[in-house]
Parts: sequence; C-alpha cells; structure tokens
Amino acid sequence: MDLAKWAEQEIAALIAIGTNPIDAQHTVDWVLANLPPGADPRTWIPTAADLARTELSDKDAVRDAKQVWMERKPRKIKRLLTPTVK
Amino acid sequence: MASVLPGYVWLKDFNRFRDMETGRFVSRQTINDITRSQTSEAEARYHELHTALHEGRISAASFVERMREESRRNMLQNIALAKGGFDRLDFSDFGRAGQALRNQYAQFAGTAQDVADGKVSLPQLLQRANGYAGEARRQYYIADRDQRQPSDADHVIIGRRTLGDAQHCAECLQYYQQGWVLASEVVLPGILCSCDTHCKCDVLYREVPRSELQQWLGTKR
Repeated sequence: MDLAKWAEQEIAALIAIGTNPIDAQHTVDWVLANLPPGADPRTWIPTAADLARTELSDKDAVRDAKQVWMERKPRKIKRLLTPTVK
Repeated sequence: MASVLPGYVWLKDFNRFRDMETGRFVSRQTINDITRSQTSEAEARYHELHTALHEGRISAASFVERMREESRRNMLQNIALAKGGFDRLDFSDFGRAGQALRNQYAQFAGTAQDVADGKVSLPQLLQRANGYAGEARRQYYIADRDQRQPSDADHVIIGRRTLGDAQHCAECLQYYQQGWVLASEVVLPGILCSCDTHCKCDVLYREVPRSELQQWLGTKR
C-alpha cells in the first residue's frame, strides 16, 4: 500500500466534496498518524476511543470553532460570538 | 465611521446581544434564524460526507474524523450563541458538550461500520446526518435555558414551547398545549419527543413577577 499516493487521492476526494484544503490535509494527517500498524487506510474504521484519545483541548477546540465561524459566516455576524461583555 | 465588521455587546442582565453599529438588540428571531441556518448548513456538510462515504469516494477513517471536527465546531458554536460568545463558555458547557460529542463519536464509528457492512441505505444515512446536526441545536437550547436567571427573588422565569415549521410529533403538540410553565419544567426541543434531534420547535422565555405567576401558568398569551 502506497500511503503517500493514498493520501494525495484522499485529500483530492475531500476537497472535491467541499472540504477546506487545510481541513482535508489535517484529516488525512490524522488518519495516517493514528492508523494501526499494518492496517489499510481505505478500510480502517477508527473507534470512539481513538477519537476521544486524540480530542483537542477545550482551549484549542474553542479557537478552532471561533476561526471556522469567522470564515464561514456572513460579514454581518462574523463578530457576533466574540462580543464585548457588559 | 462604520466598522469593517460590525461588533456586538453581550448584555449579561438581559441575556441578549446588541449590535454596536445600530445600537439595537439582536432579536430572538434573528438568533433563532442563525441556529436554524447553523443546522441546515451542518446538514448540508454532513450529507456530503455521508454520501461520499456511501459511494466509496472517501474512506471511513476520513469520514469519522471529518464528522468529529464538524460536529465539535457546530456544537461549540451553538452553545456560544446561547451563552453570549465563546469566552463565556464554562466548565459545565465543556462537560456537557464533551459528553454529547463522545456519544456521537460512537455513532460515527457505528455508521461507518454499517456502511462497510452494507447494512444502511443512503436515505437512512442522510436521516442520521440530520440527527447529528440536530444534536448541536439541542445543545443550544440546553445552554440557553441553563443561563437564564431571574433578576431578583421577586421574579421568576417562565417558558413555553412553540411549534416550528414542520410536521409535529404527538409529544411536541402536548408540550405546546401546556402553555407557560416554569422555565425549569420546559421540555426542550429535541428531548423526550419522537422528533428527537430532528425537532424544529422553539422555546419562548419571559420573566414575570412571582406574584403574577399563577396568571401565566397554562396560558399561551
């Protein structure tokens, strides 16, 4: 199995369905980093434990959610979730 | 001078956003519209991922990882919408979201396995995708209620269910018929109903004097 070739094809497939290229790269990097030895990335199914084990910290998860909000939302509400609090 | 991007203020005492450009409160309707668009945008992304998995265009591992990221983002954004911004999320929010996400991780893995085993059709998959998006909307309602506190001991928060633009299950119709109840007793959309995470209903809240509580309970005014 040529993992580099698979990674390129997988990134292209993710981008083709509308995934941001950075997210596509990150996803494939995550798969390769967590793929059990000898497993095939085309058929490996991560478990809930695999996901929980590699979960972001709360701080990083918020930073990611905030960044994506800013990227995807219309101009009018980009700053809605980073308000001044009174 | 108009700012490049309009800024907002979260007024803690009112549990509401104010648009700094116009000076006006952001209406409940606007917030509800944003949560609905959050849900429909998430559904669209999840449909793409589920369809691509079903058609063998992406791997199960990529599917599971993408669903994890998108679901986490959607859930945190919805909770921030209810709480008045990302900086107001606290330990209880992270704990509740974390539990909901861990439950979903098992479901994502299960869905990938079902596809690998040929046990699920595309329409069934898309229905599951809608349910995953609905879970984030449910988290919005939980966070929204949890932060509502009366301004003093002489007041109380009441709430009532309203029906969304959808077909309704028998339970939702029953919750609607209850009219105003104590906020703590409102059954939130997506909980204890057959619609589950697909529920499109909403909740209204208001603060009333404790002395007037009986005049409100059970009515829909």
